[in-house]
Amino acid sequence: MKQDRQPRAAAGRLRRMSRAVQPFLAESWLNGLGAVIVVLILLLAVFGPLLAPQNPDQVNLLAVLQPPSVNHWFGTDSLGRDIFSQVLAGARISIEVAVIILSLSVVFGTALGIMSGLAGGLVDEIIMRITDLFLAFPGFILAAAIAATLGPSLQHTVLALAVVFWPWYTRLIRGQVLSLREREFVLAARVARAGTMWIATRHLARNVLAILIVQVSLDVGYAILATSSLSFLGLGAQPPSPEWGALIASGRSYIQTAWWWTVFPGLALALTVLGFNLLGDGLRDWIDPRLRGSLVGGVQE
Amino acid sequence: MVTVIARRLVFTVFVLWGVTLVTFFLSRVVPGNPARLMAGPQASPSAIAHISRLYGLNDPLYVQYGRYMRDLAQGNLGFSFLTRRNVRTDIATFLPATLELAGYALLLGFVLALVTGTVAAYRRGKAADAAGRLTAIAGLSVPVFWLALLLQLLFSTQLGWLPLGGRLSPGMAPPPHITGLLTVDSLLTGNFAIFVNAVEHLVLPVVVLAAGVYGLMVRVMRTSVIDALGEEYVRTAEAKGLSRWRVLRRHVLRNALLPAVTVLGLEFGLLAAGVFVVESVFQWPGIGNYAFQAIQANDYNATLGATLVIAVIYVVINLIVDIVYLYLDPRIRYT
Amino acid sequence: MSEDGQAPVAVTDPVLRVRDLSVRFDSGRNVVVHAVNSVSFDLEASGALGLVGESGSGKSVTSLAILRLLPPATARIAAGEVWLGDRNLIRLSDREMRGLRGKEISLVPQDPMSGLNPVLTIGEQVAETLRAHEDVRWREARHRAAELLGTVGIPRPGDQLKRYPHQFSGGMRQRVLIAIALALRPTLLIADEPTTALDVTVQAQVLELLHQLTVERGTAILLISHDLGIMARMTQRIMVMYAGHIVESAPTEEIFARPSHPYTVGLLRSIPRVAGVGRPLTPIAGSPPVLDQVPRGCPFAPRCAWALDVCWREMPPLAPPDAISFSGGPRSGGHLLACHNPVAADEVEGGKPLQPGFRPAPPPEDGLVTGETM
Repeated sequence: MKQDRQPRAAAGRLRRMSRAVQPFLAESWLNGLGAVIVVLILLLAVFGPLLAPQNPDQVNLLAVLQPPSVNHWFGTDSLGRDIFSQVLAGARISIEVAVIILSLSVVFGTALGIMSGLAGGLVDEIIMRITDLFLAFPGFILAAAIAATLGPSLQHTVLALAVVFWPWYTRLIRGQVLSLREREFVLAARVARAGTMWIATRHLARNVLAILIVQVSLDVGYAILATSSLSFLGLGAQPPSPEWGALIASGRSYIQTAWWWTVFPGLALALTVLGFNLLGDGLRDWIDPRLRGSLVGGVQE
Repeated sequence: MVTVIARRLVFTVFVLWGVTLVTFFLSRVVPGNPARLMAGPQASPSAIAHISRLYGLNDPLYVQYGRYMRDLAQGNLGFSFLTRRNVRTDIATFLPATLELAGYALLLGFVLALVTGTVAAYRRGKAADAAGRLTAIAGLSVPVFWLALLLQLLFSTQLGWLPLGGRLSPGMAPPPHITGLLTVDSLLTGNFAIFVNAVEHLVLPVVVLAAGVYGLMVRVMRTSVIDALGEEYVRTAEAKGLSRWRVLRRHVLRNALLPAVTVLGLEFGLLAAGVFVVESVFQWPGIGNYAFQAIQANDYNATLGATLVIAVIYVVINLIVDIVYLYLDPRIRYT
Repeated sequence: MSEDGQAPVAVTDPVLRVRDLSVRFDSGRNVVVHAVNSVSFDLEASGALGLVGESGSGKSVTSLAILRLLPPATARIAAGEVWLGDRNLIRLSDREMRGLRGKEISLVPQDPMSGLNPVLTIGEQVAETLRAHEDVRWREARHRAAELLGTVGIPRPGDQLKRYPHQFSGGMRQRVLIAIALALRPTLLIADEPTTALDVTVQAQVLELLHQLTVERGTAILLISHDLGIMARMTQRIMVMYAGHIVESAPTEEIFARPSHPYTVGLLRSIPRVAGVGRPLTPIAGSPPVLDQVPRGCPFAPRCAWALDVCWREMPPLAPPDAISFSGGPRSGGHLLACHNPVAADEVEGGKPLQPGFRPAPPPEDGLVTGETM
């Protein structure tokens, strides 16, 4: 029966995926490092509030600008708040922000890319010109301008960055669709008529998914970095938000007397971005040759 | 090749028009009353009304856009509240500082990436290669503003080796203005002391910016050198009995640098982003700092004027890079 | 070889003597590929030797080993000597080898499409060779380059100097590569698949050019190809390579008239012949061997229709064949063979053993490989 084949198929797929992870990790120790960092950050983001020794907003005027100690691993800020807890809270914010930015841009960008690639003709031309226009703008400047115009806040920054990111996905997906369109439809034409759309979508999806995963994993790092940069400039999260960029901006005035306020959030930020970049970079190097193989092979695995 | 360039030019014009459209859009279509935002939070209603009239903000959008484009055509970028000067004058004053900074950062990052990428390609798979990859990703991952603050703290505040910020030490008069690039001007006029001082001030901000440039370029260099090494003509060159150095220079690098040129456009995007924060941290009197302060003060004309200029430079540089690439590859030059 | 019993005419020393050359590749994860195994041969001065085999047979690697151009990171010459005149090339330093390359030994590489640097003019690339070994000024080098291009049949060579490789056809580019290789009148020329990437019509022209020039200058040539057809005109002797071993070596006429190794027979039969249009081609069954394992016996055994039990266990040595075990015409003394069960003269036509009831021996149960990785 089809029903009891499904759990077995799912288990098989899971086993295949875990078997695929091993060679990826073995390829280079940098891949493993990236993976470890990413998993760590994700865990901290999810379980942050539970792990934080103190409430990040808890003001304690008796312990102002304390250097790192057993009570305050990362020291305290000018209002006595525990910086370690703030950094943990900031991890959660960064991940949330990255998820939202990328969800928006991936969904919107991919939809446009597929539409553009499949439709062709005038629709394709128009969409690509608009995409190229957006891409021609220096990304950060555009995001800064948008955020400045709408009013400095984290939400506006997220929106601005989504606007900056989506064209990359449109171009990427459209390229994939174009190159696959030739192949798959020809192939599908030979197969039973009834399966044409289904087969085309499945194979399209499989190849596109791999490239998408690589691009997203690379972009998470950039999204977090851009958000923090904009927050540092005062265009994003505003103090007293524990967002890392905002923390560093706050700590900047005290950098000579309380270096920990600037250093630790920055360290967290640098490590997080490094982890995602290592992971994304490793994925790209690893998937690329395989991807070429599967595209050439066509129907088979 | 001419047709390719022509198409590229047409597209660039289209993009430039789009840039003006976007900046205009951003300046006028904002939540809240643009006049009020320009006037400031304490302004009286009559002041706001006055500003509305003055800048024609009550007119329909297309009229405003027409006026905007006409102003642009005359090179009029508006008046800055903050500096009490024409935005155009401000930009002309501050642009050279940014160009000097970005120029050296690009140079440093590029040279480092060239060397590291080539070494990594030749020692592929070994420790040097992994080290190259790690430094490349680190260069791209480390937050520019944080690195700037750290280096400033370390080398300036703690060790006192390098100055805290600015282009020249207070009390040091700038050289006669020829290009606006202090290093060039001071050398041209023989002021060696000023030259040294200018260089000291350049070190930290340039290093910070160069990190990102390096990170982006080194992987590309490595890949393109590996590709070039795999080509048959390298073997032909070796079989001629050429020295390894000559093979590297004339055959490998000449070909490997071509793909690297295409990345230059992206590099400028990176620099545009980095310049904002670096100039802010090091109090560098350039366009980035100017724009940043304008944003803080809600100085609309200045913000948008600076944004427009930066965007235009970016687009034009991309165009130049593309054309140069077309010229450098003989296969395209002589089709 | 003299026929009337008199003392042989003094033969000049061979210009190239290869002895027991073995090349190994380290392809990561402790996998070692045995690309070339104990290869030995001589090449006379002004002689023409052909080296034939399928891809992966080790023929290109052999030529690279002679030139010492193997990728240092992965390849090593595990054993052997290569004598060019009185110098052992294996022992020379990098600098000394560089002095020889292009001057005493040169290479005509495989692919004219990528064999020339796309960003340099062909004038620069030809002149480069001259300037690498002689102290000439650019102007004189260019002058000589134009002359060289003339000798390889490139029209209006003076004008062509400034043009780029992509502006030439494949055949022209190959001529340029030949000009580069012969620029300094080397004693030995190695031509690796010089015509493979070219159209059939152009192939003949280029081969003719190569033949003419090498004969004119007395250059010894080592011609490497998978195509037995081009060897017929160009070479005096042919060596057949399989899986890094030389399995048969004989004067050219004999290879064609009296092939004795099953692989050689297979190669001959798989050449399409114009006269044989309509007849089915006979490919050699099976696929090229995986070179990272050392087979106990003859590497060709899995694909051999003449295989005996002993073929799976023992590698046959390369030696003059036992004259008694053959029927059909005599062989010259210069015929070498590495085979336990050579092909008889009357079996060549059919391409399979004629002995009734003969079946090739199956692989032994105790494994094919020695398990050695070194």
